[in-house]
Amino acid sequence: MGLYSSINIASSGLTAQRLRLDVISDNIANANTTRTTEGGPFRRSRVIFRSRVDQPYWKSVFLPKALENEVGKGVRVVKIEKDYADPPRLVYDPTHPDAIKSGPRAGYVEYPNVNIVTEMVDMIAASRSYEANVAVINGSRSMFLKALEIGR
Amino acid sequence: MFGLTMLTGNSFRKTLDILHREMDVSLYRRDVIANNIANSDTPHFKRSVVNFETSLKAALASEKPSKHLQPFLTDPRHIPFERPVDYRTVRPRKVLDFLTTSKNNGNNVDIEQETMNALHNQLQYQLMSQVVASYYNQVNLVLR
Amino acid sequence: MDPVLSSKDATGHRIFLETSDPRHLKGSRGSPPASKSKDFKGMVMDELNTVNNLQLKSDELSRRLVTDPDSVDVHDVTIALAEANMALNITKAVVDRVIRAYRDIITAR
Repeated sequence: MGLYSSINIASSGLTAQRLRLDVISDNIANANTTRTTEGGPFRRSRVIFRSRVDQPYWKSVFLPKALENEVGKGVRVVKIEKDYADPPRLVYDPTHPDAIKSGPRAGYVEYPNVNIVTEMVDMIAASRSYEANVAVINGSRSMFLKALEIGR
Repeated sequence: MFGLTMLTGNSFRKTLDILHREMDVSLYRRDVIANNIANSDTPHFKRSVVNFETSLKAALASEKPSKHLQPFLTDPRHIPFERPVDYRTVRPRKVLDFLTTSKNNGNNVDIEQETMNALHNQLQYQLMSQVVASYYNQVNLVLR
Repeated sequence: MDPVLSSKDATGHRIFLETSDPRHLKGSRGSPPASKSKDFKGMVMDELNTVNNLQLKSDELSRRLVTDPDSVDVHDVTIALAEANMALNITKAVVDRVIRAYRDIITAR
């Protein structure tokens, strides 16, 4: 337990939400990038969160007391992966330098599959989580200062 | 002589001990709430709660004879219906809450509710520090 | 009429282990209560012992604050300091009153 464990947990949440916000702003900034270094249009990225202590997804009565997990230690970002699930948007523009030259989709330009509305909603959720974590840290600080008044 | 060994067993010491344990549990609960809030976007994460106060209340209530039907015990080998539970043996329990409805990604943390719990926890801890501080100040005031 | 016992005295639910061999493991039988001395000098020594233990405990917690901050909570430290302070205060007040009473008795003779 100790003095600072809740502050550590909340700051791991702050880091994770900040990273998520960075990824979202990267997606929004590259919403119209048709050419990237690895070829093809820009693909939107997303963050994968995991909790730092893996907890079981169900409550088992057979779990012995010694194996019951301790308080989690917050969240971490496992990886930032590119979303290849959605196909890119196709816009017909034969004069564009990145237009597809041949094949059934000749003349189409592939634009990234970034939906601005989805990204904005995600950004609002991330900032709300960030504020909740900040509220936890402020509360912990007030508690600490109040406990120092015992015996003064 | 109002020594400290004579203060054991009466309500001054016992209340201070109960408050101290409650403050410990309050910090433990704060960790659990902070973990819930930090993991509010993790897929398949289920929130946890800490149960302590109800079992403490039951342990303290068991020290007085209850109003229910009492057995007629005449022999030391008779088994009583209720045994007094020492409140010092009560420990907090962290319980996984997998019964509330969850969001689409399997996460069932409600940010607003967790923030309210965190605020309640903070205010309770501050109130208890105030109470403990005033207990000690009372004694030191008299002896000034 | 048999005397009615309270629920503390009826211990039918507690069955002790049969330890017929010295190698049998003994269940816990509870510890005997600490001896309390009845004379004045004994009580004073007990009090000083308690005060000393409280001071040592607060020293130990303050030291752990520096070397192992994850194991100690803030209210543990402050409560231990307040306890030690209060114990010292009580002892000092009692000793002062006793000495004053003794002086009053000696000089009033």
